[in-house]
Amino acid sequence: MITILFRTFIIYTILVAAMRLMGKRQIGELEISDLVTTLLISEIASLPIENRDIPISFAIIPIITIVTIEVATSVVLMKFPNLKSLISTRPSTLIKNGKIDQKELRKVRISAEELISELRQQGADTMDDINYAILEQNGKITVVKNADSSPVTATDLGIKIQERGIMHILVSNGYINYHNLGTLGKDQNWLIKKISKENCTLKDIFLYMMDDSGKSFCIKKEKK
Amino acid sequence: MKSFAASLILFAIMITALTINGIYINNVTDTLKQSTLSITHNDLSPEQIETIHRYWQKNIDIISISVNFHETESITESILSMKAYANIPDSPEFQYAKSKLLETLDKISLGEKISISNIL
Repeated sequence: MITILFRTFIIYTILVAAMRLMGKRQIGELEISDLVTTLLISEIASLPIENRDIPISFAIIPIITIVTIEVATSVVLMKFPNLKSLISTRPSTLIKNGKIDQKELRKVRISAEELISELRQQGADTMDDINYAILEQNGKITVVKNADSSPVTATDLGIKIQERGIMHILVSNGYINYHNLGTLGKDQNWLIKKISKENCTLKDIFLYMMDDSGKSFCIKKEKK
Repeated sequence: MKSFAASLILFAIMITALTINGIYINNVTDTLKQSTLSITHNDLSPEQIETIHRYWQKNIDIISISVNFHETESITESILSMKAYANIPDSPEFQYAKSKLLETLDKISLGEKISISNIL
């Protein structure tokens, strides 16, 4: 039974390394081939864990082969975009200028009820709100609303608002995130000085963040 | 591109390992086949079978990495049967064990060859 334990560790490590090699697109399942790869790999990996009679190489070899094919295919398709149509579909426009394209709906085999259900889930209450509805390659439907139905923006009101950018985590549970610190163009000494203004040390900090405008947020650790 | 290069290198290492493994398995199965075929009922000593057994035990750990458990188990059982019936080499049990051993060794070495029947 202890062999199952070791096999699980080995295969888990290989799977994590494989997903890391294939990258973020695999997790997002952007294309049909990404979904197929994920399903295949999970099935193959479980076989030698469940069955001791199957050598572990019977999982390692297919996983490495599938990862290589997947990464090589994505690189080739990047260099030769015309080949994309061989293995992936194009996005389908189901609603254009507020009008349902019934021919396209039949082509992708989606019923009107399914379409309306998806639109509701996207926050589109009535057909009047919708300008475009597009069925993406990953199977999700994107809704673009009419300008009249879209939320008002600062630009619409003629108001100038300072850009805040995004929040960068600089310290998490007492540990400095050097990558994010570098993104802001700062160094450790600068960070320590900033933290000391909060009357605490690195060890006391649960979360320290800063946005692109320079505004910082500090959350100290709770006393146990 | 880094992940592409990394996956290519990994693939190349895997192909190299597969090739070395194939050569190793063929060497072991050929040696065992020759040793088994050299056993005749006129000229049999228990030491011959013991030599085969020790050679198999020395190599079984590495063979098990890429050969199915049922096949390695079948070889072990055949060798043990031959050991048990070594005193009566004319017996059908000994002959059966010997034939089964040779057939399993053929099956294992055929598994390392690239052929339509293996792929399909």
